[in-house]
Amino acid sequence: MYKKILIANRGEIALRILRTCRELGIHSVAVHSDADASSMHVRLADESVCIGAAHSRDSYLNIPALLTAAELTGVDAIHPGIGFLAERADFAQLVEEHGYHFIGPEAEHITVMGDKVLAKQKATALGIPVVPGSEDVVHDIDTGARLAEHIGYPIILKASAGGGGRGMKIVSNREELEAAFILCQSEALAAFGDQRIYIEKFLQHPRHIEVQIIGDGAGGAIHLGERDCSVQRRHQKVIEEACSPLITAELRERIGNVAANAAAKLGYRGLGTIEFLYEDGQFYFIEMNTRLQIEHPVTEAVLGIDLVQMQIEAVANGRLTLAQEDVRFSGHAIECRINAEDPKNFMPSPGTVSAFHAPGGLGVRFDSHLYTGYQVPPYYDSLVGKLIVHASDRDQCITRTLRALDEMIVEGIHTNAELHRRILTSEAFLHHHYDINWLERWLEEA
Amino acid sequence: MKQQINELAQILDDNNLHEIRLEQDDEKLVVRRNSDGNHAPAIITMPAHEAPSPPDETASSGNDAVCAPMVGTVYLAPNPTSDPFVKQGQRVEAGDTVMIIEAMKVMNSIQAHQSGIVQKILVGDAQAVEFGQPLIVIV
Repeated sequence: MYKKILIANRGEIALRILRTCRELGIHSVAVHSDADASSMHVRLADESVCIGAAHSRDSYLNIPALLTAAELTGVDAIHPGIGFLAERADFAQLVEEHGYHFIGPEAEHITVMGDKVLAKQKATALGIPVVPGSEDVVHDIDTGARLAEHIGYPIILKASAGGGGRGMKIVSNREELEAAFILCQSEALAAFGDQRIYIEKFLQHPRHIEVQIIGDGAGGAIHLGERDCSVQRRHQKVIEEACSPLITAELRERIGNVAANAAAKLGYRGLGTIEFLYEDGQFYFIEMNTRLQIEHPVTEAVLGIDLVQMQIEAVANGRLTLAQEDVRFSGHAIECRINAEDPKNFMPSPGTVSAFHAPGGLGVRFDSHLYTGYQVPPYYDSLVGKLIVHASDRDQCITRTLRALDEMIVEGIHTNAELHRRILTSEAFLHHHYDINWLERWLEEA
Repeated sequence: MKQQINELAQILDDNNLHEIRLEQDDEKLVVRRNSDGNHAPAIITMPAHEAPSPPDETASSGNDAVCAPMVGTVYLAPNPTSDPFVKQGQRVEAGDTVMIIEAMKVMNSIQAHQSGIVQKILVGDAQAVEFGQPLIVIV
């Protein structure tokens, strides 16, 4: 097992990873920007190294600085966390070239799944059902128009180098296609440095269902069930659940095995999540995230496992510590993403947390790097905590989550706690009558 | 060891701490304040993690210190056999190379940010430095 790991990330996920390292007896090295010098995980880490200025490009995206810090502290492995360099194949490659283990998949798999067009082609080759669409990049409007006719409107244009819900345009008919095509290409170029786009059938009322997998890198892989992440705003997840109230045990086994077999065939190493849109009983692959996922704790809750530990062990030992038949689901879990944002306009709300009190009690987990006096910096995303609640069934889970939200105190900055209360008390959520478009429509109507 | 304990105890007092834990290789040393039932609050609102500048830093007055623009290893001389770039008390002009920081096998020269006398060199040869760490004071 590794003696020392460098955590190349920040905020709540760095703290999450650090906690598992501590439990495994692995020394943790926290690298941070100067704006994060007082961050919780930096304070708790065995060693810390300031690697650059506040802006991500100078610090958390600064590969030379990260590799230098790794060399100076003599680590065995680097955990990339989520976002930043976690899905940068060049980083994964460099890490390995410099003699450290990259706690994630091989660079080649990051590359394949990072290109959304290639990923779909690969998924099809691996037997995963995909959203009907162009099988490759669409370079011109005429081709696009022909394909769109064939697929049937409405369609959605997507950036090949995109992902995470960005660089997408919905087109309802032929008249809209021209302008949308050009706009999507230029947005893709601006956001991802790559103007290539592809076309997919636009599903009108799908659920977002994703399957957690883990592979040993040697052809072995298992699935760890699904998560329902349909409650989204602007393609960003707000609430996630495990298991999906819509998925039966039989469906779970079917789609789980499809995902696990694909990962096994790929020779995939470490954690991965295969994301689907689910509509009218059909699963459609949209993308695969080749990393730990923000909402992983809901899976941990219903399975009673530590995914970060499993991930580290899979990469370190090349073996999985769990067999598929040992994967058993218990109860229901909900995660609420707590963002530092103004409830009126969803703008980020950095500032000093003047008072903080975490909720507790049976089945309540609060993953957050907040503390009284902490200054939420303005340079990074607004996620400041995750409230994860587990109970024996969904109704009780909702009740318990509301109870926990009432206990949570975060003063000095705005949070979306009230939004969560409203969602969790809505008829739609109670009866899980939502799809990925529900939240935005519901907010507009309010 | 006794001297270490005395030093730690002094640090404990000076900074109003409750406990100091020192781990080096396989040795662990813990110095704890006598508990009189009056426990210090567990929540600390000031960062316990030491900021890069050491407490006896003389250049906290404004801009007299050159700070590390990157994380890496400091070398005080151009190569192992040469004299160091500068010595304490030496006069330097703005732009003179005062030391090197090596990162990823690339040597980056660190320049004096203003003309003046080298008041103090704050780092040792082959020492690892963080981004922003004060390196040398020139007044």
